[in-house]
Amino acid sequence: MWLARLRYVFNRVLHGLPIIFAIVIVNFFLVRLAPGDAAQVLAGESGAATEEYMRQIREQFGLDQPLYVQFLSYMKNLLFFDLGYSFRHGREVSSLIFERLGATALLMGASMVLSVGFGILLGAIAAIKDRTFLSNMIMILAIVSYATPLFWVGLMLIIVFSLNLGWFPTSGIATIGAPLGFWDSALDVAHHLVLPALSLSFFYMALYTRLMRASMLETLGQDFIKTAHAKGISEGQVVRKHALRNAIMPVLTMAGVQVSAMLGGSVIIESVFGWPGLGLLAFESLFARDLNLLLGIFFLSSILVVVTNAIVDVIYTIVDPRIQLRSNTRNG
Amino acid sequence: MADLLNKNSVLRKIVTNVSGVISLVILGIIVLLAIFAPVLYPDGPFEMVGNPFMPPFGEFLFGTDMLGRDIAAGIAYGARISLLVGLVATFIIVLLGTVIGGLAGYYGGWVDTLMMRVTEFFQTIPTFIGAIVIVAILGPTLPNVIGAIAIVSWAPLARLVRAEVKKTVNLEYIEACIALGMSDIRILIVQILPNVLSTVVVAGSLMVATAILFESGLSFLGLGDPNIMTWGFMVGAGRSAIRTAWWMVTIPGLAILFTVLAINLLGDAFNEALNPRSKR
Repeated sequence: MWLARLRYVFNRVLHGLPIIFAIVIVNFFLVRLAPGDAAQVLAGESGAATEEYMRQIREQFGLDQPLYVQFLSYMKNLLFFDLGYSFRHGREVSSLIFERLGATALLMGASMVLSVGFGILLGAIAAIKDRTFLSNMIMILAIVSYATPLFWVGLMLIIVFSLNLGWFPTSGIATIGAPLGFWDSALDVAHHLVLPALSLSFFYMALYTRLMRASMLETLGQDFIKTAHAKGISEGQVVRKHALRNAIMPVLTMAGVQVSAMLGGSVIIESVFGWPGLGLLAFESLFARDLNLLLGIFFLSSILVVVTNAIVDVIYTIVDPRIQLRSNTRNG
Repeated sequence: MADLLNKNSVLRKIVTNVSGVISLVILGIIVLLAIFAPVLYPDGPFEMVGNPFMPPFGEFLFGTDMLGRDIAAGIAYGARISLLVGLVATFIIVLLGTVIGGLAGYYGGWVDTLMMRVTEFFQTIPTFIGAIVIVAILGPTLPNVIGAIAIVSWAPLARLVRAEVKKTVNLEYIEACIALGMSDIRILIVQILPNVLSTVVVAGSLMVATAILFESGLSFLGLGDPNIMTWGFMVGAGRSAIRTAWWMVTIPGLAILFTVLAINLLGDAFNEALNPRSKR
């Protein structure tokens, strides 16, 4: 069993490789597709590009070489995770990115738990109390949140809870210059995390609520639920032990798929709240026209999605033993 | 398909649907605003018409921004861009999705494998970051923004169309068409496309809303065309005054919210009218 699982994991990783390779190719050609000299594009549009800076860039990217040589050296660099050098920050792109990874992971993890948790809860309630006032209220909330731009949710929460009520800080990940112990600083970070995580989870919560309600209604109408009722099992038991477990699966599938979209959302939320993760780095690199850094973020976030998808697939085989460990489950 | 051609029937179903009516009214207002923007505000959205920081519901309906520009004018002109982006991007998405999904589903084999690999690639990359990269590199113009949104968004639709085509392609009447010697293109367009159309209409109407949200996110980050007033740009610009002037970020955001909400509701109403069995 464990051997089979290991082989499955290995095959899933192999499956992701062509996608990563394709991302490398797209990244490589995007810069060269841009109007004008690639060195100029990479240097950015601001007048700061001195002759020496341009020469450095040409040298770094081998832009005076034939295309296939450029591509091969690009590939070789990526293989060693050398994403180039950010002249704006005066540092390696890869170290800049890795430094920011933790903050984004924290934000996305919290938002994921919030949105999936509340989505399942609200969706289940809406299905069980179908056609009641409560259910209608939940669905209206879901429809409205589904139409709300992420950045606007964030700004509204800032206006209400930071500026008017003063409950939460407006930006950042921690209070600057406060020498705190471990628990106090963890609490401080959590305090800063509340609003960004709520904002990011708002839209996805709506998505999961709608999905959970539909799935739960479908499950509740199935024969095995009637059987459970007929056996004399209490309503609460039927819902918790029979319906919920089955209805949850589509939501979990969707949550796995949404990791990629959530990374995009975190660019917006991190820019709104000054949350120092990958998204804010992307926003800053936009402003500085640091395209090489931006491409590095794109590359790494794509890999992140490939890896998470593989992990989700593997977790799936553990949660739902009916799923067989076939290597090519995706080709259907 | 009969449903779709018989417009009265679909229209009646939407009009008898409460949320369908609400969405039609909201959308009607926004479309009128977009059409008559140059009549209502002949000076354009960038003209400084009054004192800066004027609160709403005074001299100006929605107040002014920090440069004294009329926010209501920005809303009216922004409506044009939002609707334009939503419609054009969706048109490209539907075209790409239907052609790629249709060919993959119809031919199967290596065509299918190849196209699904490409589709999978576009479903894996973080779409918003991908669009940011494309616009940042190619330059922030309206066609680039629309193109970037379309390029990163067609994949789910292609998958949907492929699944629908696969369902019909094995039916006997298609075999009969092949036996009659009909060309592949004719079978695809005349025989299969009508079966897929209701799926495409429903998915496409929701796609308009997603494209508008997408565009507002890009312009919020400052990736919009600097010569065009958009709702997302207005929210992004109003951010710096959020402590003193709540209306600069709130009102354009509400405009996005109402537009997207109306289109989503209309899409749901379409779904109920076209696929009566899938009520939920």
